[in-house]
Amino acid sequence: MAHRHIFARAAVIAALLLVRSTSADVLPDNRADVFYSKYSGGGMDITGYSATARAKITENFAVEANYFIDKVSGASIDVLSQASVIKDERKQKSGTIEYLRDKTTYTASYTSSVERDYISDTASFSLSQDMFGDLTTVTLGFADTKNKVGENNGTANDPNVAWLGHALTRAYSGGVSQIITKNFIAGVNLQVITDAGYLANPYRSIRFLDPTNPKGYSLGNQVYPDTHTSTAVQLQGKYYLPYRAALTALYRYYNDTWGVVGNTYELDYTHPIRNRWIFEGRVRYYKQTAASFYSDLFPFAGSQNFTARDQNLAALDNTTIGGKVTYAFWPEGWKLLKRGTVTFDASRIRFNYLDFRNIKYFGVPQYSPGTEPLYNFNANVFQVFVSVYF
Amino acid sequence: VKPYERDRLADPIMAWDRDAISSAYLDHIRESREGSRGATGGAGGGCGCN
Repeated sequence: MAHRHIFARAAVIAALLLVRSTSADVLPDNRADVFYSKYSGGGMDITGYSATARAKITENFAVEANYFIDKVSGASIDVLSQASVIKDERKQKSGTIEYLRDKTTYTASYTSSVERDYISDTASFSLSQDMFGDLTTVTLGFADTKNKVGENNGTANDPNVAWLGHALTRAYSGGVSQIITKNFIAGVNLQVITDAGYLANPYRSIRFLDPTNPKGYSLGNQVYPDTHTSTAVQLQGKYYLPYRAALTALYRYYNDTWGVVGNTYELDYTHPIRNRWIFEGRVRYYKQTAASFYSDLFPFAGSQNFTARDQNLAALDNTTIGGKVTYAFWPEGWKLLKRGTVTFDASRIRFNYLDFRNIKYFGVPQYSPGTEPLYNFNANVFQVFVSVYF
Repeated sequence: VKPYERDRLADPIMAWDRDAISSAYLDHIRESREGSRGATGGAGGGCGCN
């Protein structure tokens, strides 16, 4: 039986670092990181390993390289209700160059991501300009992504990938970061993303009422539009408190041509202790409406042109509580190194689906199709990384 | 705000994104599970998400 994994086919968005620093007229310090991450939730376990290094070749020119591996195993709600467990991995490489001239930083990067059944290449370019006495930083960016989408009809150990099509993504970004007072900085980011091509997730299915099936329903293919355009605006502010600590608030509004409207709210508090520790706590709440062609249960096969039952397109909300601790083991440096830190970051996310039902309960007599309990799950996200500045 | 008044803004705790790899990873996790995407200031790529 085919391994029905449930990779969410999020469109690739290049690493456009819109409001990464408060100033564009100095390139960031040299830095190297080794990174480990673990995600557990909804029956899935994803382990990630990464290494990154960035170095200034001159005061005006810097290069950065990153390598990332995700290893996925487990069985999500889709998998539990349809077939068997999955096992897969993704390898991503990226390279970035930055060039500073006067008050402008130019950044170009290339990212390549490869999975057995999904290949993605992104080229991006951005520029940041300081102006008005360096109180304002304006950033503009563009990214172009080509995705090759496949489906593994074999097994994890004996894959048989059928290539289904391509998807092209273009992302246009603009951002402004503004110093308001000596304690307060604010920013706004805008990003418009367009996709065209094969946009559905081949591993997810719709279900529709079928009296001839003992379960009361049958499964069918999702049919997505072949274009998608989204607009997101994020407002953020960061305030230096009367003692040495920082409070960050952000709000993001999202909508797209598929009818999804999302609102994100986040609050972060950062508290250092001397030069040795930095503690951070955050809460985040997110809520979205469903896509116009989403349904948990369609009345019959072919009931409308476009059909989806991808849980990402359902109405949902989620709440995150997280904390982060950075400890400087070389606060003042060591030999040629300027500083060394280790950081632990943990988050717990509660996902609640408002119109996506848990069909794991199929065959349980008291639940007829469409009356199963709504699906929800908790996820734990853990990261640890060592950073050395030189 | 004069340049000599910006010492607090220059404190590392006031950086929008102290650890870009970490925040790109969290963005990637969210984008894989939510319908929304973009404008966060940094994002991942590819899939490998679930």
